[in-house]
Amino acid sequence: MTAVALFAGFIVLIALSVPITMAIGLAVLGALVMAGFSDTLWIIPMKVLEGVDNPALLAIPFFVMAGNLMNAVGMTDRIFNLANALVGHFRAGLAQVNVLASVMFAGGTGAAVADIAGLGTVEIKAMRKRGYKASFAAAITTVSAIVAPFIPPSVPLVVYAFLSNTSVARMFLAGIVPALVVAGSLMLFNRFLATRHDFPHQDRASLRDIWGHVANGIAALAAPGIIMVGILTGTTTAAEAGILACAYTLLLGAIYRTLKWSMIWHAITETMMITSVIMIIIGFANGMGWLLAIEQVPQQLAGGVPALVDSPFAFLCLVIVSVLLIGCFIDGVTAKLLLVPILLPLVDAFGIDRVHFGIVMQMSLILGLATPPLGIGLYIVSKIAEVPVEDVVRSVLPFFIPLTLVLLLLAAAPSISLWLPNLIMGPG
Amino acid sequence: MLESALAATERLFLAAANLLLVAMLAINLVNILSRLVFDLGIIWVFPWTTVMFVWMVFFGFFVVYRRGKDITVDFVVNRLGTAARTAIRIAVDLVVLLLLATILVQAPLLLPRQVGELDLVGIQRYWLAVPFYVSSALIAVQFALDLMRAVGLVQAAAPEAPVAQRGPVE
Repeated sequence: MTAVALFAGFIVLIALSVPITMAIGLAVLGALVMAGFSDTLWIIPMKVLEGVDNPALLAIPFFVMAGNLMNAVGMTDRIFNLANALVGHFRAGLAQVNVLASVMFAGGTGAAVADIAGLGTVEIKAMRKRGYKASFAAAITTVSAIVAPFIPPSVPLVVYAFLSNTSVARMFLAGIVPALVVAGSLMLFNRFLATRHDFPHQDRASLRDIWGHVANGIAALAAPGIIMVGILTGTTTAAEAGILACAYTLLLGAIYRTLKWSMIWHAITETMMITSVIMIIIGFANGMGWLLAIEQVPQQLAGGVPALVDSPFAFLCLVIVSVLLIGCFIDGVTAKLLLVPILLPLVDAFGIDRVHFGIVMQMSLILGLATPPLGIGLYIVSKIAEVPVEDVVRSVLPFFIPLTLVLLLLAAAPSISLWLPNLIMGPG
Repeated sequence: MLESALAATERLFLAAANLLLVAMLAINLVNILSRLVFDLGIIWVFPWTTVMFVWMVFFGFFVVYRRGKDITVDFVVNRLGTAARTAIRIAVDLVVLLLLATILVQAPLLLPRQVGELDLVGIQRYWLAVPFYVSSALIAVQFALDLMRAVGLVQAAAPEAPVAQRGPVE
C-alpha cells in the first residue's frame, strides 16, 4: 500500500508540474507519514545527504564536463568533416555521416543531448545546404544521438553501475558493441531509405583529403580511449579518468587555439548544474529506495512476477514495454533510480546478467529521447532545424523499426552486450 | 529588494559551485600527475574532493532552482486554462514549501547526529550538510516569492515557471 501511494503520489505530482526532485521528496514524505514514520522525518534530509555524499558517483561531473568542453573547444566541425570524408560518398551520404559522427562524438560526451545540441547544428546545416529535407535531417540527428549513452564516458551507465553494484568498466565495455549495432542498423535503414528517396549524391573524397581530415579529427577521438585505458589498467579511478579526459580536451583547445574563457566558464556552469540536478535527484530517490526496502517491495515483486512470466526473455519484454512507456514521461536517470532497485531481485531471480539488463534498460530508456510527448531530443532538434516538432515526429517514426528490432535483439542475445567485457575482463 | 538579494546570492553560489568544480579538477590532476611522475599520491586529495563535490552539489541546488533548470513535466498543465494553471501553480508552490519546511524543521534533529571529524579534512561532518540547508531555505524563499506573485501580492518581475525539460544527461 505504501508503495502504491509512493508511486501514485509521484505520478500525480509530476503531472501537476512539480519539479522532479521535489516530487520525489514529497512522494517520500507522504509515504513516510502513511507508513507511520511521522516522528522520524529527519530520514528525508539524511537520505539526501547520504545519496549525495557518495564517492562512487564522483565521476559524473568530470564525464559531463569532458563533453561540455568538447563542444566548447569546437571539436564538432573536425569530427563532422572526418565522418564526411569517410562515408560521405555512401548512398544517403550525409545521413550516414550523421550516424558515424554521432558514434565518434559520443566518445567525448556520452550524452545524447550534447550530441544533438553540439553536432546537430553542424549536421543539420550541412544536410539542408546539400538539399536534404529539414525534417529528415532533424530526425536522423535525433535518432543517431541514441548511441551516445552507450559509449564511454557515459553518465547513465555510471548511474546504473552504482545502482546495480556492477563494475563501471564492465558497463562501459558492454555498451560499445550495442552502440555499434544501433549505428549499423541506422546506416542500413538509411541505405534502404535511399532506394525510395532521391537523396543528394556526393563524390568520394580523395585519399589526400581523407588523410587531412583524419589528421585533424583523430585527436578528438582519443578521449574515450584515455578513459577506458585509465580504468581498465587501474592507473586511475573512473573520476580521475574523466579528469584526464577534461585536461586532454583543454589541451586540444589550446593546441587548436579555440579556447575562450567565456566558453569554458559556460561549460563549467552547465556541468555544475547538470551534476547538481542528477545528484539531488539521486539524493531524494535514496529516501524512496530506503522506504521501498523497509516495506520489502522488491521482495514481494520477486515473489509475484515470476508467476506471470515464465522466461527471462518474456520478463525482459515486460520490462521493455514498461520502461518504454515510463521513458515517454520521465527522464532516464529518474526512471533508473525508481526502477532498478525494484527490478534487481527479479533480474537475479531470472538469472539475467545485471550488465546485460543494464544495457537493455538503457536502450529502452534512451528511445524516450525521440518519443512524444516529452522527447527532449525532438524539441532541441526542432529548434535547431527550425521545423515544427510534429514534422520531426513524423520523420522520426520510421526509424523506430530498426531501433525496436535492435532493442529486441539486445534483449534476446546477451552475448551482444557481454562478449566484450567477458573478453577483456573475464566472465563477471 | 528580495528579488535582488536572491539574484545576488545566486551569483555568489554559482561562483562558489563553479570554483569548487575547478578546484576538484585541479587538485585531482595534480594528484594524478604526482602519482604518475613521482609515484607519490597526495593523501588528502580524495577526502577533500568528496567534500567539495557535496558542497558543489548543494550550492548548485539553489542555482538550479533560480534558473529553472530542474526537470519539470508541464505538458498536462500547458493544456489547461489560465485560471487552472494559476491554481496549480499556487498548489505546487505550497506543496514544495511543505517539503522544504519539513527538511528545515528537521535540521536541529539531524545536525547533532552528523558529528565526527572527517578524516584528513579536519572539519565536523555536519559542515557537509550546511550548504544543503542554506540552499533549501533560499529555495523556500524563492517559492514563497512565486506564491506571492501567483496570488497577486507581489508584481511579477522575473521568469516564473521553470522551462520544461528532461533527461539532463541522456
